[in-house]
Amino acid sequence: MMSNRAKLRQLMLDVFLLDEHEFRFDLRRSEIDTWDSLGVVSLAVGIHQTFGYHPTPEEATGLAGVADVIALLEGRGIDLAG
Amino acid sequence: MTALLDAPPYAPRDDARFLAEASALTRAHLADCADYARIWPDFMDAATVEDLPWLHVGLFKQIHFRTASPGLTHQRVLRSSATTSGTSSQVALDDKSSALQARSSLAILQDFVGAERRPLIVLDDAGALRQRGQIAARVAAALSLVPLASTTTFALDATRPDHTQWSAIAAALSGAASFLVYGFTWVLWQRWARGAMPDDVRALLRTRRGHFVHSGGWKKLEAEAVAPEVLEHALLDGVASGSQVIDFYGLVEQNGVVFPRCAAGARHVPRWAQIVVRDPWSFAALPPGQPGLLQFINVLAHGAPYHSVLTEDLGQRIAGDCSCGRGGPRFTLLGRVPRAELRGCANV
Repeated sequence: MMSNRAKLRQLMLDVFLLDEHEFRFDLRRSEIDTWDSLGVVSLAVGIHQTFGYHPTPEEATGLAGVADVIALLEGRGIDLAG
Repeated sequence: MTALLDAPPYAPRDDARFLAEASALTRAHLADCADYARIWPDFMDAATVEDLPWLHVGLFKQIHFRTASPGLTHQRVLRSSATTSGTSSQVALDDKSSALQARSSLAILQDFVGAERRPLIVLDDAGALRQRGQIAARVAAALSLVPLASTTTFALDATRPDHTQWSAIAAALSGAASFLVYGFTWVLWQRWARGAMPDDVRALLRTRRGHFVHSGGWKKLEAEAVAPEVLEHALLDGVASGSQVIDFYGLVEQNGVVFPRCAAGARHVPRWAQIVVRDPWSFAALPPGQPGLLQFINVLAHGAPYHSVLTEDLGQRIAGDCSCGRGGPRFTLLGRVPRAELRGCANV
């Protein structure tokens, strides 16, 4: 079974059309050209579909990198450690 | 530019300001878009909106206009859905216009559905959001409602063409007093009004007020002899009172300016846009009551000269005040020019 960390990695690849080698867990929004206003909605919908939590509009627009996504999900009790 | 957005869309107009802004925008496009300047090399100024240069919508399939004004950053390309020839219109979006267009569509839609945030159910696949460098017209239409959404649920799955994610819809509806649904007209009919809706979703809908917003054309429904009132009745049957069906007309070449049909059957033009109806043979401007080609003008489009376009859609302006209470010019849509190429996104 896929770990939550692996699910998040796959979600980021799918949502932002990244190649495997482009992904890092410290990737920032400013480094991803597809993380624009459309990407914000796509990521919020993807987080909901994958982890069952729908970020509020303020949370979704405030995410500035993968680390923020992890912090958001862990704040909702979703374990992304392993 | 543009203080016209600072008042509600159907508040009293400042037509002198509109003309000044539209003329200045035209000059900016002429200065910084060589393709546009080649088409209208002699424009100096306009005494009326009818004098403003226009581009025929068909040109956006042939030429990828781009205005390279200082300070503008171009982003994605907005594409219309497929047409009978397989070509689509392409409009270059930019950061400045996108911000204005988002304000515009939000103000217009708020006027029809209210400002409260509520769950938004989009009858499309979330995969439609995942495109590099471009955005499809139907996605742009759905996204115009996102600022009114507390949550956004894409309820279809491209890998399972006949499957509607009713459990996700039920989850979105639970805990909310009202909801929004957006879909292409045909999809709304096929997947919601005629869909195999489970009993638990029907039960949730009975106590919730909904706004069903649709766009994208009646061609397929006409083929099945489904009239607008049949669609409306099917959608409103079984939802709480106060629910509404809103049919909106829009073009990728007028991104951000949408024309929902009001309760009186008219489509109102916001104060940051204008309509001209032209004779199809002479292109002379026609008075209210006379049908002709619809030309739309707005002051929001900076990244390419789609601020003034002549469509292949037929309509007529309506004189006098509207019983719905909205001010400004308004029109009815009559159909498409015979033998015009069928479009995927125009709501006719």
